[in-house]
Amino acid sequence: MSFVSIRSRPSSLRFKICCSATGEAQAKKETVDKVCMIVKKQLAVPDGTPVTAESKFSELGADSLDTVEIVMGLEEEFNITVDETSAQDIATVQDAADLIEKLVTEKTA
Amino acid sequence: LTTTTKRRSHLRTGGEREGGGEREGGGRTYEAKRGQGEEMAFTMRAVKVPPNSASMGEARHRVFDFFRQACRAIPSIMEIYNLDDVVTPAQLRASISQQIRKNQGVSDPKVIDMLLFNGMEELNNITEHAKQRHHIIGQYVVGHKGLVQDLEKDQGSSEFLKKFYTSNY
Repeated sequence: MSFVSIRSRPSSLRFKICCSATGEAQAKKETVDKVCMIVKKQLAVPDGTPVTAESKFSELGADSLDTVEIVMGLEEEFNITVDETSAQDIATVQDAADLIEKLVTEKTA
Repeated sequence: LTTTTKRRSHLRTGGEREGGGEREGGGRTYEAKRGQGEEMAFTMRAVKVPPNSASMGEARHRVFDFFRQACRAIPSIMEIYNLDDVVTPAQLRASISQQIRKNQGVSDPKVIDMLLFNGMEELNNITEHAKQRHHIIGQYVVGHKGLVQDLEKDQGSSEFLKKFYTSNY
């Protein structure tokens, strides 16, 4: 019995390491969904147009001021502060979600 | 109404709140009201726009910086003027960007600088509580048609329709 319990602990440690590795590679789906929702509301996207992780803001009809406004909305929603250089690189929904994930993990770490 | 719209129309960056509002908090307003010279110093200190933008690119940059500053000041403004039950931060952001968009056709960097200066001044006034709640509500919360928010994407409609409610001519 004791052997079984000792073996179970290292395997759970390994499980945790795996999780963090995949977490860095891609943003969580719920983050992407939240970003999509904020973008849809901000740009008043009609219901027919799909907003996916790969959608570019410019394709959805956003000008540069809209992009800045979306970033500020995300700052408020996730309670983070995006600095200017990072904000300039955001072109798609996926970029925004990845940046948010990074800032949130840095904040909680 | 005409004076505020005039001021708004030449504000490229609308006139909004200042992000460094924490520095000049409530206590300072009493100092500012005491004398002309002190008031001037108060406003001047917070305004960071140097006289000349070298190019359109730099002016653009400054506009976005100003917008970010204004948006970051929104939570403190909502607290100062007790706007929580009247408007959401998203709506305030939308009204700020609407003000900025009103002047989006401007091409001269110096004009943009001037508009930015006006915007910073307005932002200062708002964050240092030099205005009152009814000013904020009338100017930034309520649209031209009363409680209905102005549509930003309304640029395409004809001039005739835009003036329809105001007068016959």
